[in-house]
Amino acid sequence: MKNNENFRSPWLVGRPLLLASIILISSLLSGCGSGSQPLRVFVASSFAGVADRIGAEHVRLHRGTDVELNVASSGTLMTQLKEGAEVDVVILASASYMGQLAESGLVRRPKIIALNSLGIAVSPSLARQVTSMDQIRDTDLQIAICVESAPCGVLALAYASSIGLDLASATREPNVKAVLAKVERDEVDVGFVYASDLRSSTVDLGRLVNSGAERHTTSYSLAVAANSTRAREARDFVSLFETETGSDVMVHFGFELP
Amino acid sequence: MTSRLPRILRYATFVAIAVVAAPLIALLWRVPWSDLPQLLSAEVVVDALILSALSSVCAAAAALVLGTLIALQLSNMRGAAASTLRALVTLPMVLPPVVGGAALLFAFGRNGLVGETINNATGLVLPYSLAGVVIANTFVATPFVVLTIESGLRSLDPRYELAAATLGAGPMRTKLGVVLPMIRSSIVAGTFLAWARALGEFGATITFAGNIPGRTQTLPLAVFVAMETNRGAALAMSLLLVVISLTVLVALRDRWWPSQ
Repeated sequence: MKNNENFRSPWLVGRPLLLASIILISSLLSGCGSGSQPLRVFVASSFAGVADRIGAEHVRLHRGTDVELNVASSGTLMTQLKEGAEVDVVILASASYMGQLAESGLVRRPKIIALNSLGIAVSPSLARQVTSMDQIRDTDLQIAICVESAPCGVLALAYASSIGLDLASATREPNVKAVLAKVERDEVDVGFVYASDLRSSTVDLGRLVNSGAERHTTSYSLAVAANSTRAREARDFVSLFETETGSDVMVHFGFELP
Repeated sequence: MTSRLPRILRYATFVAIAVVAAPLIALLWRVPWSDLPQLLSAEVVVDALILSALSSVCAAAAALVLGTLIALQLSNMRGAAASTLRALVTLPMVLPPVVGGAALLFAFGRNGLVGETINNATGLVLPYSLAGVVIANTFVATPFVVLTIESGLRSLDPRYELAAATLGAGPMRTKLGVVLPMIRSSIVAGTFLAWARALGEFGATITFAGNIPGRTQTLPLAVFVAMETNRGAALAMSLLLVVISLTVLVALRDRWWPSQ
């Protein structure tokens, strides 16, 4: 810093700049902070398509509202909720995860809305060759599963241990959509995803049948967050899942109804 | 220090420092100190630590070679061509790492531009292997070597090079025997920065090399997984990364921007 003398009175010299920056920063902060508040929905990756469609329906029925989805694996969502995330509606791919949240008082009265099971997808390039779990077990194929904190990872590990399949060299992806994307694009040979993904994927995947994976099931649970500031609107949104439209959407995305 | 900051700016500085320091303090506050030895000796942590050490050192070495070559080239260029090349090779610094990982996948993935040829010719699959981790790390770390070494080269008096040439040294000998030794502090700083960046790499690694415990699951990936399964282990590994990174930065002090 040379010419120190010239900058003796920062208040006089810097005032317009200072004011400008205060205005800029505060407007930025308020802009980044909150506008008109949307309904905040935390939703498991595998269910994002359904939540998006139902969200659009909700907006159609309630003009002027907006629905904002936070999509991640149920394990990640749990962590965010336990760390105090502000949210109105929670949809997890595991009723037992939701049970834990209810026990800690973070959500109220969870409800099971859909069922799903493990599904084994084979990459398009191997779809014709690989048709049974024995082939997968006996060959050195690259497998992708979900991380163990995600319900799809829990199912994959339980299934693998039940049939004696070694998953040590499987890559553990952050959520089921990441697994699906990798197997759809031939980046891995086999992906442990959900039956709903197998039904709704538009890619020419190999879909293993009667592998025993379908016996490893999970239920999707939905609840209003205990700290929701818009509980009434949240309940409206939740009730949509129990309408005929809700059922249609869930079936369309490959889920089974309870 | 030639002048004190005006008071209002000093207060603002406190706020600025607090914003940066608060998360680190919170991390230290959450660390289960008494369980630390046990948490750090868990198999998953040890595996990740070994992998991280191995891949970050390999990546730093690769970045050193690639970065030095690019920096030597850059320091001889002027004008728009230099700016364009510099922007191109330092892009991974500002690019979201996950985009870098995706780009690597398109290049070296099993169906990638180059990857498919490599795969067909040698059977080698780069993703899901230690080599894949090293490639991802090298990709994000190289710019640090380029920038520090180029800055060192540009601040070097060109007369040294002329003198060496006058005394009969060939161009290769001038570069390797005279120029590079004279900027060794930049080389060291660049390499350590590259190493630290490689050590912390997450996005490109998980996108390109996957997340296989014991094979491609480096410390940052292990932290990401453990955040949801074993909070104590996640904190212990985070602490480890903070300590290592801080040590590198303190050890380098001001050397990582040597032109000043």
